Amino acid sequence: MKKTILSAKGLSKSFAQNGVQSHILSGLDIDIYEGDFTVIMGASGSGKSTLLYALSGMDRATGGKVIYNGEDLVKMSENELARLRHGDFGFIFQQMHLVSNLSLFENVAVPGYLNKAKSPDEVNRLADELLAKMGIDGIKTQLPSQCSGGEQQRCAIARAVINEPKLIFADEPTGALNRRNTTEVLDLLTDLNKNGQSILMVTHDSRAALRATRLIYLADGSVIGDIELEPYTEEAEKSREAQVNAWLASMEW
Amino acid sequence: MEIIKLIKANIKHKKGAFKSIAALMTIIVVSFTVTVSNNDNIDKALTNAHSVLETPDVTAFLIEGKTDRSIIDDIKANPDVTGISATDCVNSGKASVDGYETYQMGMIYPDSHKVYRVLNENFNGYIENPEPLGEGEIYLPYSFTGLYKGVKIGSEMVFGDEETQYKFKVKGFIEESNFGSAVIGTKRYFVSDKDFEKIHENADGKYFAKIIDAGIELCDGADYFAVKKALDDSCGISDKSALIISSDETTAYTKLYSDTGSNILLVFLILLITIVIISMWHSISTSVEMEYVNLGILKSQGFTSGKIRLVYILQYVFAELIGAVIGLILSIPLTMALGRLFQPITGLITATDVSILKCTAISLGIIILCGVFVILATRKVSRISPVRAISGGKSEVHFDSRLNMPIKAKPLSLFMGLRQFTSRGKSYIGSVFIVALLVYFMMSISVLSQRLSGDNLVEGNINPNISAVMSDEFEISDIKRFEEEISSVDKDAKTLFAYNKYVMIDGIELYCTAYSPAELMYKPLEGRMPIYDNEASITEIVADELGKKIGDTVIIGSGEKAKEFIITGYHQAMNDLGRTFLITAEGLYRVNGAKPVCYVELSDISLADKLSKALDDNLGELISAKTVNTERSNATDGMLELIDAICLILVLAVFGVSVIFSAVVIGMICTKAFIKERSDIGILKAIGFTAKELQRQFAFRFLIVSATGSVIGGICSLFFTKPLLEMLLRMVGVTRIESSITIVTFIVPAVLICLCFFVFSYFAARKTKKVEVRELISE
Repeated sequence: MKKTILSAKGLSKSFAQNGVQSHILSGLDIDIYEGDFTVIMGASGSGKSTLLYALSGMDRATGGKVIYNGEDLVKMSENELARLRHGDFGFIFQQMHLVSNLSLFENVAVPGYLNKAKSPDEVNRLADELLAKMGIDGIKTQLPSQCSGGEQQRCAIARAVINEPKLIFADEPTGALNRRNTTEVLDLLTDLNKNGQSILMVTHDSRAALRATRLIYLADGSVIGDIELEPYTEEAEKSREAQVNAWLASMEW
Repeated sequence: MEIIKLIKANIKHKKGAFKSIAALMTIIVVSFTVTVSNNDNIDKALTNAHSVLETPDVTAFLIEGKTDRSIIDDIKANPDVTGISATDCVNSGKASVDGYETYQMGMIYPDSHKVYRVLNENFNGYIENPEPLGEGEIYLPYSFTGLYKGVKIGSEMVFGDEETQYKFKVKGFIEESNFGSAVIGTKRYFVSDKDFEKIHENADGKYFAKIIDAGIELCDGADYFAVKKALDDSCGISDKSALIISSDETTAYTKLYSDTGSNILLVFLILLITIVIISMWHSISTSVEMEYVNLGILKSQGFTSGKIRLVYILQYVFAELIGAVIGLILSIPLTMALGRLFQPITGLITATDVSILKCTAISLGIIILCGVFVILATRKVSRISPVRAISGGKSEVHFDSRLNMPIKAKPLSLFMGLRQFTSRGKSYIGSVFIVALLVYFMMSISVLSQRLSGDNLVEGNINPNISAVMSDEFEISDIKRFEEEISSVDKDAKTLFAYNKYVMIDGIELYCTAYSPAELMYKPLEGRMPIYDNEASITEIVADELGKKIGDTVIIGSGEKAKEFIITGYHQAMNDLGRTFLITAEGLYRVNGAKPVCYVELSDISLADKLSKALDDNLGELISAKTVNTERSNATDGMLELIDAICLILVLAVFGVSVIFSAVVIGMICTKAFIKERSDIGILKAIGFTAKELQRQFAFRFLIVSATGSVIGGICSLFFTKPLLEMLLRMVGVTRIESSITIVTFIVPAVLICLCFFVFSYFAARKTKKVEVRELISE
């Protein structure tokens, strides 16, 4: 029996634009489990990113609940959400979004300082280790603008894990990368997951979807497909690809 | 048409920058409009008063006894003299009003000598055809209401002592164009013709001296000093006068503070315009940078660089025009307030009109100047490439700086703020420069106010308990006896022999202060103060005028009594705006025969009566001693309070304007920085920074900017405050400023500006709350 780490009940999100209400999510129920590499897929405009914001507390749902650790994210204050962001949650974005005037090392270390769970020395040591693990320790003093997209995204992953979060939210993390960098980033995420890290990722890249242990398909703000997969191995990639593609085809992908 | 559309759109979407430029322009226009209008109003009032009251070009108070009316014909004989009037008046040596001892040289006139206008009760107009004064009634100059607190209609004015005393009730206050200003040490009082006759008849030379007021008219283009010298040669006018002064000189005294204010304003105005130009430059550069894509698109649609630049120029000119109009409107009540403040100082009823035409012209000049800088600042527009803009904007920006310090965990906000500052150092150069200018000027104005206000205006440090007037029998050699007598009662008493008079020095008549010992009243700037009766000290202004230096000799006095003196040092004094020299009392006696007045400050005040009696008993035939109110003259206090009030207003105005400027500039810079860094703010929020922490970081950054600027401003102040103030104060006779920059002079403006920057940027950064983290996520 898997343990639920994050749970949404009757989740709704609507936007008002020029007096017209558009409902992106309507009464959606979803559970995210500990240790899973959950991937949400769907066509453009299906509401997958909106779902990611709402589940991560980056955006407030207009209805329903998002329960994490027994508490409703919808009702949390800005400060409580900020604590979650530098504590239990980690984030990886499509455009990396590293702070432009901080070096790679500082981009990783600053959330660690902010969290205050570890001493500054421990944070520095851990940041060094993570950068080495991501293979970018040689350029750690460089600014993001001086690095390639892949290097920046690896730094963003290191930043996301510096505080040993319970759950990582990743929004199209390979969307802006070339093929080689995509594989590298996906390998890193897969490794993290194999070591017990829970990941919730939004993507429209079927290659990224292969890394999932659970695939959710979203259409018009509702979950229309949800399957579980065996943990990813390189050897079984071909058969897994066929399985995922067939399933995606059944979702009219 | 398309340009108007773009301007409209720009103003609509960049209201912040538009409002800020308008606000800065408003402050500038208010600053100069109020000062220029006040000066113009004083000028107009003076010109009108001179014209209506027929102020003569030169006024000489001829002492009867030393001369008689025959001198009038001698004066008239000078080819440059076109007319002369002679009026009897009486010089009163001792007077008090409402218990205050007056310090001015008072001249009593009959009220039929109409060189005045009677003011109404509200001091905002004149009484037409006032009734002649009745017996026991007196008119006092309007400046007395400021000089002596509480003096009003009905107050009592007393002349003389118990022996010969005249008491008058104040019937009203008058405007008198020549000597009415609070700054001038001679005052005219008017009593009924009957009372005047009585005083004139009884004037025996002790407290009341008969004077002939000679009003001399000169032909156009005549040189006053040359005429005076010629009159000295022909009829010895200087030796026979208590005072000779031109209307140009009294006008300069009357306008002393308003003219000083104008000079200060001119410097402040240059500083404010510089700040506006820096702010506009910053605003335009950031705007071009941020709008690179939009501007590129406009270019791709056929807009030329010229048209885009024109949009910028018109937009800023429009903002400045709006600011100028608001400034002119706001100046109306402020000009009225400033005018009211200056009235008791100038002694004139001034209009409170705003000099619209002149100030509009100055405003347009400033707008044109700023426009030129806008043209220069928009040169970047020409370098925008439509292709690069359309394909995503300008090239990558590398935020790198050698100044970068490692980010430390504690205090994280401060280190993050420091990084934001160092990584974009170039974009804060303007802000640092603005702070440096503000702090420098605030420090300079603090020093100036200290120098101009309070006790710093009063040279010397004697606070007399006894004063003694010398009789005709007194010889200068009797000084020694006098000193011995004082010493026998109080050996620690300070004694000063003093007399001030206009005396010729190298052919020019200047205000001579004669003090023995001179070092009791003045400190030398260079050399030493005169000790012997053939030594003199001059101000640097006189040194320039005469072309003399320490060690040179000058001829002091006129005619046969003229003697050679050696210059032993330089000093500075504000008498006659610095056109003054200093010799010993013995020296003055040698060239002029003037007998000094003696002032004694006792070490033990209880000895005053004993000393007074001893002087009367032993030297009664030589001197007439009397005890003096131990408090410093109330009159001097009144004047100093007025000047202190002006200095306080000056400091408050400069500090206030600096704070408002800081707020507006910070508002502009923060808004731009915020837009530029919106993405970073979102990222920092996404990694767990709260809006409050980000606000703090923002504020810390500007605290660092302001602290850096303050330090630079403080250092500049150390080097440049002195020359600036010496330049400004030279016109009032101060040629050297003691280095009075203290830690407090630096701390107060620096802390104020840093606090402003911190608080205003903290508030300006409240928009961080509105930055949504989801803005970072792409659908």
